[in-house]
Formats: sequence, C-alpha cells, structure tokens
Amino acid sequence: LDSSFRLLLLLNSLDLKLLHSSIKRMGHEIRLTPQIVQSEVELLSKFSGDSDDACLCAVAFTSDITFANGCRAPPWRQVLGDICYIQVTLHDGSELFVAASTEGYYVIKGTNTAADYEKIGDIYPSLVDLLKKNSEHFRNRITNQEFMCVEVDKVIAEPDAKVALADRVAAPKVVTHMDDPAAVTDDGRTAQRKTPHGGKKTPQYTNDTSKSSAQPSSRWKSLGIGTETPIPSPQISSNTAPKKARGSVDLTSQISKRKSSSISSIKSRSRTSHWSTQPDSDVSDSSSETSEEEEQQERRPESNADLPSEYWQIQKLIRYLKGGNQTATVIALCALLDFDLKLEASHLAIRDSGGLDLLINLLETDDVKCKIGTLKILREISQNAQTRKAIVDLGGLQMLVQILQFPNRELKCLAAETIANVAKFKRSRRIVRQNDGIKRLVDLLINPGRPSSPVTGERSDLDVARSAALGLWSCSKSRKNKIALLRTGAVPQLGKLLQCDSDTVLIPVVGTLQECASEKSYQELIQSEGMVEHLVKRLKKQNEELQRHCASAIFKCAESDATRTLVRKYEGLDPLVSLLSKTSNKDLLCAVTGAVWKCSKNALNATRFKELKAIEQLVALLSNQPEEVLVNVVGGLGECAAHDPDSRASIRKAGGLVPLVQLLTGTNHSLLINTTKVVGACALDADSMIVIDKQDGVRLLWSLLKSVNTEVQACAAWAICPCIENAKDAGELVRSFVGGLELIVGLLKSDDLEVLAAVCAAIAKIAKDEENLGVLTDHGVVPLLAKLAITDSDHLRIHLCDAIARCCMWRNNRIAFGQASAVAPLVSYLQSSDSLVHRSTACALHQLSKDPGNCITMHEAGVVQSLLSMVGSTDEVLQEAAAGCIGNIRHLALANEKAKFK
Amino acid sequence: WKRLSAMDEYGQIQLNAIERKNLLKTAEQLFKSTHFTREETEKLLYKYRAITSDRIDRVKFRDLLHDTFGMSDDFFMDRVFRAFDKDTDGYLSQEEWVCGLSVFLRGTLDEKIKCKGLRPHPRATPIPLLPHAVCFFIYDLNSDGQISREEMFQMLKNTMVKQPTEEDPDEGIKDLVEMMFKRMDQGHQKVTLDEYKATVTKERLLIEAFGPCLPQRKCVEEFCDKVFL
Repeated sequence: LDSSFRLLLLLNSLDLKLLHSSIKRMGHEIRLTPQIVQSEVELLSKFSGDSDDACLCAVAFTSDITFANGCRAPPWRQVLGDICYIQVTLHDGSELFVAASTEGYYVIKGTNTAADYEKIGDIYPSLVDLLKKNSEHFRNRITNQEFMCVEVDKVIAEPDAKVALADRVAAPKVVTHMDDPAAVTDDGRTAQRKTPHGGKKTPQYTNDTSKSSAQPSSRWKSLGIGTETPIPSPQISSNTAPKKARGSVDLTSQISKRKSSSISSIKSRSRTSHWSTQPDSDVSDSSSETSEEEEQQERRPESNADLPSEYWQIQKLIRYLKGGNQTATVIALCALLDFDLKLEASHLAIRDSGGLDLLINLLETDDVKCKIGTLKILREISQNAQTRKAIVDLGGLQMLVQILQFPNRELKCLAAETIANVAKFKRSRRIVRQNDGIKRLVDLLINPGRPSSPVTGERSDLDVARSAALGLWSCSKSRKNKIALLRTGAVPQLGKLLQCDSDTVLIPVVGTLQECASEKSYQELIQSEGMVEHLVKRLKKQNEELQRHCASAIFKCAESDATRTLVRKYEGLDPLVSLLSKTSNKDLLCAVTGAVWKCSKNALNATRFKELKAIEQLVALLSNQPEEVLVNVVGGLGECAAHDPDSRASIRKAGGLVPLVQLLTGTNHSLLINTTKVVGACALDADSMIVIDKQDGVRLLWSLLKSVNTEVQACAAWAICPCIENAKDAGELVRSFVGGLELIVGLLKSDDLEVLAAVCAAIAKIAKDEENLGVLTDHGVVPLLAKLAITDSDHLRIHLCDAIARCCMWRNNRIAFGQASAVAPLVSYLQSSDSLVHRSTACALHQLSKDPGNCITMHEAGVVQSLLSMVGSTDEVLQEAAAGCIGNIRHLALANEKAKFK
Repeated sequence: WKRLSAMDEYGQIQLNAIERKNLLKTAEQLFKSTHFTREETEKLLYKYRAITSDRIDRVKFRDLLHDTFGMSDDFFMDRVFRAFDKDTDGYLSQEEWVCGLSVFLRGTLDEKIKCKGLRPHPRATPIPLLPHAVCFFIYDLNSDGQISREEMFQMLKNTMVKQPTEEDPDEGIKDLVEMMFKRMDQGHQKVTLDEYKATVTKERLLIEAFGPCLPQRKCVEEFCDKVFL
C-alpha cells in the first residue's frame, strides 16, 4: 500500500515536471480579450475595500468610455494592442497603473502623457498574478483566502463567495486553454485547485459544499504538491488519471461524479460554481448538468473499480426490478429503501442503470404495493436536485399529479410528498400547475378520501392534510401557483387546519400561508378569515420552525393596519418581543424582527413595544447580525422612534445611535432607507442630535444624497431636515461640507417627486441660515425651484412653497422668482383642497408680494379672492400670511393711485 | 357454467323455511367472532349457498379466487384454500367461509399476518381470529411454524425472468432469498411468526412478501358491493 502510494506520487511529479516545462514555453502565447479583462476587474473589485480583509483598496478602469469593440484604451493605443488601463489602489495606499494588452498585463506609469505608457517590469498573464508580484498584502490575502476554504470544519463567513473567487479566477483563463488546447499558461496554478479534483481521488467529494471542497485540497497539499507547482491542463490530467487510478486502488476508491463534473465545468466553460451546488439549492444551469452526464458516460469504464459496493448492489436491485414479477419487485423495492438513498452514489446508480425510467414506469402498474414502494423511493431520491430534474425530464411529475386522484390514501399522500420534493424549481412548479395539480392537492387537503387499507399503512386525516400542505407549500413558491391556489378557494381550509395542534401539520400549513402572504389578496384573506389569531397563538409554541413561519406570515400580513391591530388584540406582541432573544437562529430572528417592524407601524403597537422594552432588545441586535435582520431591526426602531419621543431617548440610552450612524456607511439600499429614517427620527431629540453630530452622522446622511437609489436620496434628505433644525450651529455645519450645497441644489433636477419634496424641505431648513442661503442662490436654486412650480403634487407643493418662502429672504430673489414666472402657478395652489398647501402657499405669496412686480402678477392671476376667504381661516399662520399678502397688494394699489393723482 | 348460473340466481335463491332458519341461526353464532355485522354474515351465507348447495370444495374456491379476487397463481390459491380450510378436510364449511372472509376482506394488519384460527377444537368456543398468520401459514409450506430458505426459494423461484445467459439462472432468486432472510431472520436460520410479524409491522409492503395471497383492494370492494348491497 505504502509503496504503491509512493509510486503514485513519483509518477505524478514526473508528469508535472514534464508538463511544467512545456507550459512555460506555451504560456507566453496568451491573448487577452476585453471580456476577460472586464470580468477579472469586476471580480477583483468585489474583493476590494477599505477593511483589512480586502485584497485591495480599489480597482477600476481609468476610463469610463467603452468602444464598440469592448476596448477602453484610446484608439491610438489600441493599435498597439492595448485593451484598457486599470488603476489599482493597493492596500498600503500606493497606486498602480496597469495596462491590459492582448499580450497580458503590465505596469505603466500612468495615462497622462505618451511617455507614461512605457512598460515597467514583466508581462503577466493575469491581473491576479501581477498583483501578487506587486503587493505583499494581496498575495497574503489571496493565499489565505484559499486556505480558509481549504481548512476543514472551519466555519468561514462566506465560503461560497471565496470558493467562487477561486472558481472564477480560474474560469477566464481556462477560456484561453480552450481557444488553443495546447496552450497551457502559468496560471494553470490557479486552475490547479480544480484539476486535482479532476484528475485524482476525491472520496468524500460529493455534495457537501465547503467541507468537501476543502478536504481534497488539504490532502493534495499534504501530498507535497504545493500551490506553487504548476499543474497540467485539465485535458492532460484526465488522460493521466487512469494510470494513477490503477496504481492506488484504495485511494481512488470513489471517483464519483465530482470528478467528472469539475472537468466538465471547465470544458463547458461554465462559471457557475459547482461547489455551491447544495443538495437543496436549485442551480438552474441545466447545460452544465447535461455535459456532466455525458462526461460520466465517457468516464464510467475506467472508474468502475472505484465505485462503492452500494453502487453495484443498487444496480443489481434495479435489474431485479426489471426482470421480476410483483413479488420480486416489492422485495427489491423494499431492499432499495434500505439503502441510504441520500448518497451520491445511490443517485448515480439509479440514474445510470435506467432505474429512474423504470421507477416512473412502475407508477403505472396496477399493483398498489409496487406503486407505494416506488413512491417511497421517489420521495427519498427526489431530495437530490439532479434527480428531481431527471424525474421531471422523464415525465414523472405528470404521473405523480395523476396519482393524487387515486382513491388510495397512502398513494395520494406519498405522491403529494414527492411532489413537495420535486416542485422545488420553477419548471416543475409550472408543470404541477398546468396539470391541475394545485387543484388536486387542494382536494386532498379538503377531502382526505376513504380510510386507508391496513395493508398499505394507516394515515390519519390530519396526516393526509399534512402531505397535501407539504405539496402546496413547495408549489406556492411561484406567483402563478399562488393565484391558482387562491382560485381554488382553499385558503379558508388552510385556516381551519391552523386550529389543529400538531406541529408537523402546522409547519407546512403556516409555511404555505406565509409563502402566499406576499400577495395582497392573501393578506386580506388571512385577516378576514381570522387566521391572525391562530398565527399569534402558534408563536407561543416551542417550535422554532413553526415560530419562524408564523412570524414571517405576520411580517407579510402586517402591511395592513387592521392586521397590526389584530396582532396586538390577540397579544401577539409579547411573544414577538420574547422571541427577539433567540439570536442564534438567524432565520427565525429575521422573521421575528420583520414582524416587529411591520407591527410597530401602528402607534399603539409602538407604545406596547416600548412597555415590553423591545427597543433595548432591538438595539442589542444592531451588532453581529446579517443584513436581512438588520434591515428589519432598524425598520422597527425607526417606526418606534417616529411614533414616540420617549423611544428616541430609549434608543439613545441603550447606545443604539452609534451603531445606527455607522450603518449609514453601508450599501444595502433597504437598510440605508430604514437607517436614515431612524436617524432622522432620532434627530428630533436634542440630546440624540448631539450624539449624531459627534458621530458625523449628518455628513454621512449628506453623502447618501449621492446614492443612485432615489428612495435613499429622498430618505436621506428627509433625515437631514430635523438634523439641521436641531443641530447646534447648523449653518456652520452645513458649510463645512465641501460641495454639499451644490449637491443638494443639483438634486432639484431629479425626476422623482419624493426626492424633490424632500430636497425642498431640506432647502427650506438650510435657507434659514443667511450665509447658506446666499450660497444656495449662487448655485442657482431660484430658477430650479421656479421650474418645479408647475406641479400637481400637493406633497411637493407644500415643501416647494416653504423653500420659496425661505429663499425670498435673500436680496433680489423675490424678483428673480417673478422673472422665472413662478408666481402665477403658486396662486393656483390656493385652489387645492389641502389646507397645508394653503398655509405654505400663503406664506410664499406673502414673501413674494413684497415685490411690486409679483403683486401685479398675483393680482392678475386672481389671488385676492382666494386670499380673502383664507383670511377667515382658523389657522393663524395662514390668516396672517394671507392678510399680509393682501396688504402688500393693497399698498401697491394705493401707491399707484397716489402716483396717478399727483 | 353451473356456478355461473348459481351466481345469476343469487338474490332469488329460494330457501325453504328450515334452511332459512338454520342460516339465520348460524349467522347469529358466527358474526360476533368476525368483522361482519349480522346482516352481512347472513348475506355471506346466502352467497355460500349460491356457490354451492353442498360445501365449497377446493376447485370452487379457486374459481372464486381467480374470478372475483383477481388471483392467478395456482400455487398460492391452493395455499389460500388451506388457510381457509382450518380442519383440513378439503372443504370449506360455512363457518370457515365466514371467518376466512372476515380476515380476507376486513382483516387488520394483525390478523392478516396471523390467520388460521388457533382453535384447539372446532367445536370449542370461537375465539376471534387470533394466532397463526394467514400469510405466514400460507408461506409456511411444511407447516412447521417456520419459513426456511428452501421454502422461500420454492415460493420465489418463478418471480423473475431467468436470464439464460447467466451462469446460474437462479442467482437472482437466491439473492432475493438472501435479502429477505437478512431482513427477517434474527439468528436461527429460520423465520418464525414473530420475526415475520416484526418485519411486516416495520414495512407493511412486505405482508405478501413471498407471493400473492391476499385479494387486491379493488376486488375486495367489488365483492363487498356485490354481496352486501
């Protein structure tokens, strides 16, 4: 054993050496294309940032202009083969200009003068290699990251992302292999992470993601073939594989699918990471899958010896299935059920031997026992993503839907449970719907059929309902199915099932409901059918999965205020708050915080949350939680703070402001929206404002005005308003933001009404400071505001008039507004039905009327009559402004008359 | 053809007063030890009379199994008859008929495994069909209370298409036998009733492990509909 192992190593290293020498020569033939460069830069930019964990500070193209051929370099450089230039900021702060030409990457001085394009140093085949040579930090990070994935059992924050890094780093270069099969480059080193799996033994390398992807690598390393050793191209390694395989039988005990799949993934140039293919996740990448199958057939003869004994036993049983009568079939089916059908080898064995076709054919027999046995097997094996695709491809799903109609209870249940497993991807859900499967599942739910026969097993009515609900749960993940389910009128039936007490039934039922609750009509139904009460009741059950689905259903349904009230009425807020302490279960926490958020939109609920000390708990959740949770937590805090001044103080006292302000630096839009709302609400509290100011929160808010998302912009602008109002020395603060005022004035050009309203409100606050008003005017705020005057939105009108009223204070802005013809539209605002509009419009008109020219315009527009009626308003501000405006107009008229009579 | 005409006349069978009285009396005695009601028992007895004016013999019973219950394997039909025929006299008495059908049509899992009523003496008080299993009894070819490898092989030998190309055409059968043995046997190279019962309780599909000896659900329903309505 030992000697054969050593022989294997020797053979292997000889192979490597031979190939290495040829690779070196051929490596220089690499030719880059714009696409490869683009993808590599995109990839690297994902792993760059300010933090220590990142490989680089920043990586970007020097030019935003892309020519039709995909190049970014100026045409006169393209002639010389340059594709583009990349500016890389290394972690130590130094900058590097990299030219990507068709020959490879090399460092240049810059892009300013012709002399700067001079090549410095060597040409590298990939950007990663170049950076490895130029930055110690980058090299360490890249190597560390690889090894983080390599270490077994170590929990990594984002294993998928990192594995994907390695995968994708390799992918573009593999393309070059393909273009020229003989050309193997230095960067085969990166591909090496894949090739060993391709060419060598991978016993446990089956379906588990991070762990299994790790093991072979570390073993590979322990074999003494380090990362620095270049490795043959995939094609060559697969040719050498059989030789090695024969050499070491025990090590090559199981070259399973992974082997072929990693090869095929290279061959098919698929960039989808096979490592991220979890048993339950559906990669809708059927092309790579088919090539995988083809690959298997090619490889099978040589890897026969390496398959586990189960493989052969299963194949044998399938042969018996083929050749046996019903008795033999049942025996074989039962024997099959004894195998661990979750194993990759079992799936392979069943698929390879045509067992799946056979099983699906067996669904058509008359013999109930054969059918049941078959369904039991299908139920197990359909948990594997590839197998369920194969089942669908073979038309098995249609058969399953047919069986739902059979009188036999056991059959129906098994079929429903199998459908639940199979309908995990889109196409299968569509097939279920198109074959009337939803209706049949609902029938099963409503009418469990006659009691089962003793031979085939006993199932209670509840059990049947559970199976049906499982099926519906899977199907209800697509929108059309939700609608189909709604049409069958089964929702009240689900509601009835909510009253039962068994967790196993409740979970699929609530799961279906919460899945469907994303649709408005379901939300209404859930509320009107009185399901909220039961959902709330189940929150108190000690089953985390059930609690999660209940909370999630409440989360989705609490969009309507009636539901929020109901949740309070049934005392659902208390269990929600107590569930906030379950910090270990992220899914549960996400659903619960979501429910808290939506429920707190009701003022009374917010008060109750305050009584339950939910704010302190929410603040505690601000750290160390994933973004989905944070969005909900911050949303909840925002609603509480908006409703209740005491809550703002509570947030401050619980130390929530600092993490909140820090969240403003994030990138998740919904998180930013919620965070700006909380910060804005807290800014209403003077003491909190001091903290926000100290944390530089206003600057962060201000920088969010640059966001690409209009909603973020609007929310940031809204949050800025109270900040400016409550900050000490707000004028100075605003002036300290370089270009800040220009930015906000620029936002007046936005197309989004909400942004415009928010910005107008902010401008009204900023303009309280004389000096800032001057700067605003210099940036041309007047014509921009005047342009907005023609609007139908009352919301915008209110804030626009506020802003205009404020801006009139500066020198001759009044006249400027008049010249920009903003006055006449304002007069028309007085016809609006909204009294708030009247108020701010009157104020603006009052200010504008201090200019005689405007008075004439106003008078001509017929302002006097509307204003006269407003003088009688109960609103004092409106009264005064209206009276002042009329007064100004009157003064002008008097002066005019006086002048006439002189 | 004789049997068929009897079937057609069913329902109009004219019994004289004494016969009817006897029939009712028998039904009264029997129904308590079965899954049937008194009326159903009566109807089953009428059916009995419709099949034969005397006692049901092996051939008639086999015809019934074949035509009504969809069974086709001669070997197992014979075994089923034996299971019904508790006193092994080659005929089914009215009592054997009703008790057998009770298990056959309405049996619970327990009874379907154990069937042949362990009654020390036919005239002793009828105990509800307890010990001995229908299936087990059927499969226990030599009635020694155990199923041996040989018995299994005997029963399974026709279950698979023989591959003449293979060296040992019986290899598959032997394999099946081995699999069943491994599953059922707990160490004494024979399968006992308890072991059989344990296996079936665990995996209900295996109740007819070695061959068809119970009617199909569909046929049971048809029969019940025809006789009881």
